[in-house]
Amino acid sequence: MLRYVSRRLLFCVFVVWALATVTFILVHLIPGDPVRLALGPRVSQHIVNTERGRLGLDNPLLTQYVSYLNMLLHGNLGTSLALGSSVTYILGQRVMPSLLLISYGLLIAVLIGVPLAIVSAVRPNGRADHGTRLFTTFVFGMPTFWLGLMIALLFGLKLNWFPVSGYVSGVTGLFRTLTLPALTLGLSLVVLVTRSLRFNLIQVLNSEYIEAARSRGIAERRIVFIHAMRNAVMPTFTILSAVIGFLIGGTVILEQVFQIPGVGSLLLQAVLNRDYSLVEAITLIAGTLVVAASLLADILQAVLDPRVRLSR
Amino acid sequence: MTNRFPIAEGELITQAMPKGQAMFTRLRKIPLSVRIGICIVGGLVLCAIFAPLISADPYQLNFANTLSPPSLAHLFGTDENGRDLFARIFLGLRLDLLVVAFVTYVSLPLGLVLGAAGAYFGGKFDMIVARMTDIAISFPFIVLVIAIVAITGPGLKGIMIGVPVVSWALYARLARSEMLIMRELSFMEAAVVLGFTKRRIIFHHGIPNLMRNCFVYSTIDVMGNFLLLAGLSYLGIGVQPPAPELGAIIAEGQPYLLQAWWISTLPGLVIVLFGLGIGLIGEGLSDSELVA
Repeated sequence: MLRYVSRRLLFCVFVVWALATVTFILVHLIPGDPVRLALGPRVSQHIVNTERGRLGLDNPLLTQYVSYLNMLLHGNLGTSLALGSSVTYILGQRVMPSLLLISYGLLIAVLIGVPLAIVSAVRPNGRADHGTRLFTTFVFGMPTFWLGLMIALLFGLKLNWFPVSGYVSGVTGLFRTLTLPALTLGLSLVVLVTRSLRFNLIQVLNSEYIEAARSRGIAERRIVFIHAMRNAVMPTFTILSAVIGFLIGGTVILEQVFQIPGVGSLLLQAVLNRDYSLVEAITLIAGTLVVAASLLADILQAVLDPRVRLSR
Repeated sequence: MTNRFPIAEGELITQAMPKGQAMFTRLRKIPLSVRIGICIVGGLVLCAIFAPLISADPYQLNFANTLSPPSLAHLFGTDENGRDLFARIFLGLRLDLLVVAFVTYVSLPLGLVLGAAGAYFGGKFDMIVARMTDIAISFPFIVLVIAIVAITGPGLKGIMIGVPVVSWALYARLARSEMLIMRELSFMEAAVVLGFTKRRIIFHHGIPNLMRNCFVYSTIDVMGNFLLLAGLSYLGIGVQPPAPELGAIIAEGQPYLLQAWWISTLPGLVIVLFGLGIGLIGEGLSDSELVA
């Protein structure tokens, strides 16, 4: 067990290092002077040169790389050239709305997806199963931003239940402003949750231990919810951890649709401003989150499911 | 010449039939959902190809006729500049499909060959391929593509570079895992015994058998790339105006959501319809022989 975890951990460190290296190379491939870009064309060359010297941009590439890694190891993500303050500080202000949006979206996906998966797995190819499949096939091709607009049009503009843009903190404010974007994010995830859970539930429900439970006369309800779910839920959990990257990408788009000041809209703003250090930092953080989530899911699975532990 | 590849039982039967009849039997074996899906996707592709011939000029401004609802003169209505939406949507679809086909079917052969060769040769080469695949898959895909767009500047270049850089890995993983199993099968061993070159074994005996699953997977990938391209264009960092693109048209219509619902709604419906067709094809293909 310990060996398995440490090997996985080592690989994750390796991936994060590779990601850091790739973003470093990407940023240094850019033609032109980042300082000149940030300060604008009217600033004198002298000021640009001092700034370059201060940032260490005139050092050899290898030296810059080493100091970049050193900085990262100390938790320093650099300075945003366009906004003029530290990246950590800027991110700190933007991270909360995005985190809340992602967790709220996940919650909605589970609340809708799990019941749908259960009713379709209990009777495969039954009416509920076909209905669910039709629904997921439709949602599969929906662009999240379009779905968001349609939801905003229906619940916001026509029915006036929720505001269509903005962000207000506090419990009621969050509920009012985040429900529509979270519903959109959740619906786009429902496809994945439903299909994976349905597939696993059907497999588990056909296994011998379920047969044994049935022959002992245990209520079907108890079999599905207690005996089968326990084994069917784990692979779905792994898949959910793998879509963290998709969720982060989804927030970039949805924060734009609903005008939420989160990390996603920060990334878009950084791209349009050509604020490379900020883009670099957000890419790296998003990558680290994805890697950490998959590590967590793997470890959790090994802890909860002895079969995984023994097979490695 | 005899058949070089192992054949399924059904194909043995069709081989004994006259050519026309064999094709008919094969067509009948295609699941209904796949046939419906092919009709939807095919219809949309035909529309995208031939729309410029039958519709109005997608760039023609007409300020006397802005935001007019769908009518016989303008099937999908007009936008805030009086441009015909039908023409713009299908020209946009054409651009989307071209780009999506490019990025998907550049990644597929790349991943397929790398994965198959890695699994066949094994050793250090395989380890490098496998590690690179793992790394590419654990990158946050959309964020990385956006980062590449940040460097190349808004436009198609970022997407055309960024998507293949990551998405070859999924095909490589798929091909590799299958090749590892297939390598041990007797027809592959027979090819070795016959003294065929490694290149011939991989390209003529291995890859044709791996292609099927990769193509099934590519239907999902096509849709994912379509949504990504439309999403980036919606954000304003993909296809640049005045070129029509479905995501960009949806963004243009957003301020007029209440006065002119058709501008944002209709391009979205076209995407949903395309997704439905692709979904039916993919689902039917994977169901028909239980491809995981």
